[in-house]
Amino acid sequence: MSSVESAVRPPVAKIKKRTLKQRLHASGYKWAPYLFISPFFAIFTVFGLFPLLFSLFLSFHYWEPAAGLSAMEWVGIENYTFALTDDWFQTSVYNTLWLALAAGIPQHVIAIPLAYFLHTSFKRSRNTVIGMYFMPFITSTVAISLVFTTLFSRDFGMINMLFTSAGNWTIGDIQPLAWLFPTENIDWNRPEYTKTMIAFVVFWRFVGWNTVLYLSAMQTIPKDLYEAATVDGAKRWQQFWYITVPMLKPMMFFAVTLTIIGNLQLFEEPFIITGGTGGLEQAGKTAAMHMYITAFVEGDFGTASAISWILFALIAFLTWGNNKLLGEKK
Amino acid sequence: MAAVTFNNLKKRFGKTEVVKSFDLHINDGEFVVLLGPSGCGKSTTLRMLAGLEDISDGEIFIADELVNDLHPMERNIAMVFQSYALYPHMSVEQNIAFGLKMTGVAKDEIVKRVKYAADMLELTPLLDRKPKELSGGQRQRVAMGRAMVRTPEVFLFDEPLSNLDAKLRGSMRAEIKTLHDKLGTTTLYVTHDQVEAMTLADRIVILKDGYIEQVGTPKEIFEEPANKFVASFIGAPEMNMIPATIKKTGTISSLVFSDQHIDLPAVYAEDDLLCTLGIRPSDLYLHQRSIESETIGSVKADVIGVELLGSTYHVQCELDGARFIAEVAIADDVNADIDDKVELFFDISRIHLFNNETGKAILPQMN
Ligand SMILES: Nc1ncnc2c1ncn2[C@@H]1O[C@H](COP(=O)(O)OP(=O)(O)O)[C@@H](O)[C@H]1O
Ligand SMILES: [Mg+2]
Repeated sequence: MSSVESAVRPPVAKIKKRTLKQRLHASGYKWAPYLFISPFFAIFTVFGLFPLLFSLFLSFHYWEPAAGLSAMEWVGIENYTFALTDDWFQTSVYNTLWLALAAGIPQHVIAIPLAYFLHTSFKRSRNTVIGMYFMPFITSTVAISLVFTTLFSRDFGMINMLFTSAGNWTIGDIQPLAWLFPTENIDWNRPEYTKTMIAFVVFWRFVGWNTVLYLSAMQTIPKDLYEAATVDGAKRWQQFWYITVPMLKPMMFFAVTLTIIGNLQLFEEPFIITGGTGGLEQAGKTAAMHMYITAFVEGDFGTASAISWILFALIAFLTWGNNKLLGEKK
Repeated sequence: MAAVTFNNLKKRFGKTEVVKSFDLHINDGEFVVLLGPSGCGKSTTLRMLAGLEDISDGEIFIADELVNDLHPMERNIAMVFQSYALYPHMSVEQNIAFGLKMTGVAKDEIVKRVKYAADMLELTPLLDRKPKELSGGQRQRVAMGRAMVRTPEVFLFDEPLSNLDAKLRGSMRAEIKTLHDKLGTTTLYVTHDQVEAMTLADRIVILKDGYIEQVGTPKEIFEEPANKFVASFIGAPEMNMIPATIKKTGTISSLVFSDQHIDLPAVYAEDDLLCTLGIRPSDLYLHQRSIESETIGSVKADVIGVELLGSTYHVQCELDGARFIAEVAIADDVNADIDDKVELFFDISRIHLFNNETGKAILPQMN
């Protein structure tokens, strides 16, 4: 058998000796692709991978940066246990989750019908309207937070002015709206209002973004489906409920994931609204703020790193839950 | 079931009128096909009947009720879309049941009707599947099931087979026909495929640029086309069109070519008029003996090509600068070759004459 094969095999071509130049030229084809993609890896290693690994490394150490790298001290999981048992950290996680829900759920519950309304009711002016809704998203957080701080200011704020004028509205002797509206200025900085205020600002800022996301998803739903449903006798709200909402599920998954990630890392709005302190009784202090304060105010980088990894785990867990809830079933 | 009447129906999109004065009466239980090239306004007409498109002018009656301002649901119609428009997130069962659910039909009645439709369309084993898990033909059947369960007065189809491959198209065509025979529901069916129209229709309506060109049974449309457009739109290969002059000498009309002429058995009013002779390739023969008729005519033409197409030959000829095809059976002793001159025979009663200016058929004088 093998003898037959070797007998049939054609004569092997003689291997030619190549010059050095030729060999370099040929090997160039081998390493050139790696050279061309290397900038990405270099940049990713320096700015992505290294900080990631370094913070993981840090989270198991006690370190005062002022004392130099040699001052690092291995402490095992102590940073983690400390953070998890720390009252202030627990409060900040509670605040974060509270804000994530209070600012996050209305974003979607309002954005979806709003997008449907824009989708079905506006034709030519649609882009202008979308642009208006999108404005808060591209405006600087600092500016937005300052505007809202002014609006919510106790003595001169618009909100208090509107509320109290409604509350103090009188017909003869009675104040018919006093049961609903305050009659005196409210101090919005009081701990029981802080989170509501922050949640409102965050909601206001991102509802337009979500509306735009849902609107773009709605534009991909074939018109035929609505026509078939119309012929089938589905009214407008039934079409919304039975066609639009189920068809939006992939976008819901995407948008809710973005909301989870964004809201659990909430920093700028509460930081500016509470003047960087977290507010009275820490009422407006989020986990990200707590991490920032631990690192840059208290100088405890080890614990701050541990907090960031705990936060990461929390985000990963919630995203996984979201995937179970809204993700594509296989 | 119901009759449908269109009265001077018009549709404008902005300034462009795409349906221009559409008049038609569809009898109760009739299967009418709207046939025409793409963009001629077929879908628009159908969608106005469905209530998916506003009516610019005119009236539509379903069962003697004016439906111009009725909601699609109140018109009691069901529609099968070209894309099928199945709801992708619902199972086959839910898709079929959706319309019943929306109109508040009782649960057990829904179950009963879905089962009936599924049995009839052989969908029962597929009821739990999602549309994306179905083949093209199965999706098509689901779309038909969805239309069927609502027991509508009128079925509307908009090019329902154009997304299927040729083989499946044939079998689905047969299924639609069977369904219509069983249910007897008045049907308006839109297509650009003449084979579908010829095989399915009780009557065909030929549309072009928003105008009705002809209404008639498939046989009438094929054998008595009202004008040049209908004549060349229907039939494959296309009807041959050869320029000729119609002359009248005393009481005899004849058709004159550059160096030959044919005497016509009938008398026409036209004299010395340049017109077009239309004759189908299948009506031309190489031998006089192949035709059984008392009125046989013939023309001599140059052969410029011969093509074998399995059971037939296409003999390509030229006469007075016009090219045309004779479709002859292999059995018919093909004695023609390139550069030969052949004599082609035909039954004169099967020719068509068209006025070059109006495109309309020239008919013999009645007497
Ligand atoms: N919504 C619309 N707006 C403007 N023009 C349209 C619209 N729908 C259809 N048309 C035009 O009307 C003509 C007829 O369209 P249609 O009825 O869909 O043709 P078809 O016979 O191929 O079904 C076409 O020229 C098309 O471009
Ligand atoms: Mg069409």
